[in-house]
Amino acid sequence: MYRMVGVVLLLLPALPAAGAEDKPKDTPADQYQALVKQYQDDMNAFMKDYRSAKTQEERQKAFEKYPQPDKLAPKFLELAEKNPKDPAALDALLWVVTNARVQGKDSARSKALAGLSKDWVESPKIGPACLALAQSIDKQTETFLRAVLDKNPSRDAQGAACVALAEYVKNRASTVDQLKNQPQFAKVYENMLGKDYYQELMKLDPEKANKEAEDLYERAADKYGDVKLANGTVGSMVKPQLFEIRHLSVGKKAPEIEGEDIDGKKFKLSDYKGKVVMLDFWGNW
Amino acid sequence: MYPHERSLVKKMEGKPFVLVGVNSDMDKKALKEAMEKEQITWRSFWDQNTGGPIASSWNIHGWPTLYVIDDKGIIRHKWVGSPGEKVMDDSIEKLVKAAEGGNEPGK
Repeated sequence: MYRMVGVVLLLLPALPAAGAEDKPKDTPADQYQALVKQYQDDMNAFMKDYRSAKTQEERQKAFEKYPQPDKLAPKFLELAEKNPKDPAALDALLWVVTNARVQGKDSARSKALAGLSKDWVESPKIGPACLALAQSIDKQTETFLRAVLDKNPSRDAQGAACVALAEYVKNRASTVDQLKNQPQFAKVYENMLGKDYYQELMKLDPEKANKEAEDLYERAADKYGDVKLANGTVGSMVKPQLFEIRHLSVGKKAPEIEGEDIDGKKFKLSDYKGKVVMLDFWGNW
Repeated sequence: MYPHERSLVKKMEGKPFVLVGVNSDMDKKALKEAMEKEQITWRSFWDQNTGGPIASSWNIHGWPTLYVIDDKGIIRHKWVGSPGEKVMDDSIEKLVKAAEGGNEPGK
């Protein structure tokens, strides 16, 4: 009997050690990476299917497996919600804001934007999030960008927010302009933006909006020209936009064009002065 | 686009209107063939590719992009993508009427 107890006692200490090795604690950063990897793996699987599809029917079938970012977005949001101060939360919210497509009040994108507004307005790393939002036209985005520009202490973040806000104002004005010619989309945008805000947008004065965008681009170039972005600097991003606003918007005198036609003959845009010209940038590709 | 552009050019024959292209095809030979096939009779600047000098200086990021310039050289419309045949024709007709009448183009 004595020897049996000895054997049993020898076995017991081994078990808890094996248990601890099976379940290491994942950091939020690990969890974020795991989600990103999951999305990438799903994307790779889709691309493989799509590339091997030989008929239109097979291609359509492959598309059914396209990994919709909005499906995975709630997991990123959950990660951010559970670890609001962790740097991985910023990464997770940025992922949603960059990838999720659905817009509107209860969308993942809107929730991510709310999270960024709540915890990350003053983070020096908020620049990329600002730029990812520049093409939006909703009110929540405008409020967020202005908050970063006003409150963020880092010059890099201010620079990104300034140029993003300029892009936002310019893009919103031209989207509204296009929507005015497309009444068939009115309902879609009303639902997405809310009826009140949509109607407010329809009353936007395009000249005023272009002036505001121009001022913001100038401010970005003057104060933050050297701030580095993902592609170049604030200065290099602003230059063509400023040129467009100053010389290529409705109401401005069209710049001259000098070039050659398909047969190599030289001609100029000003050759047609006195006529109404439709200048058509096109390609047969 | 081409059928509508063709009919627009025909409709405006004899009027103070001209359609001028800025083309971004890289292969000149293929382009000439396509223009013959599609009966593209209006003149185009050949800009060599989508990053060509004219498209770059006009900050073009989407094709087609259309600018409508009145008889005094002022930009009156800018459309990225076609705004639809009706909007295009109505806008151009209005400006052509003003050019013919010699009045200040109405806004």
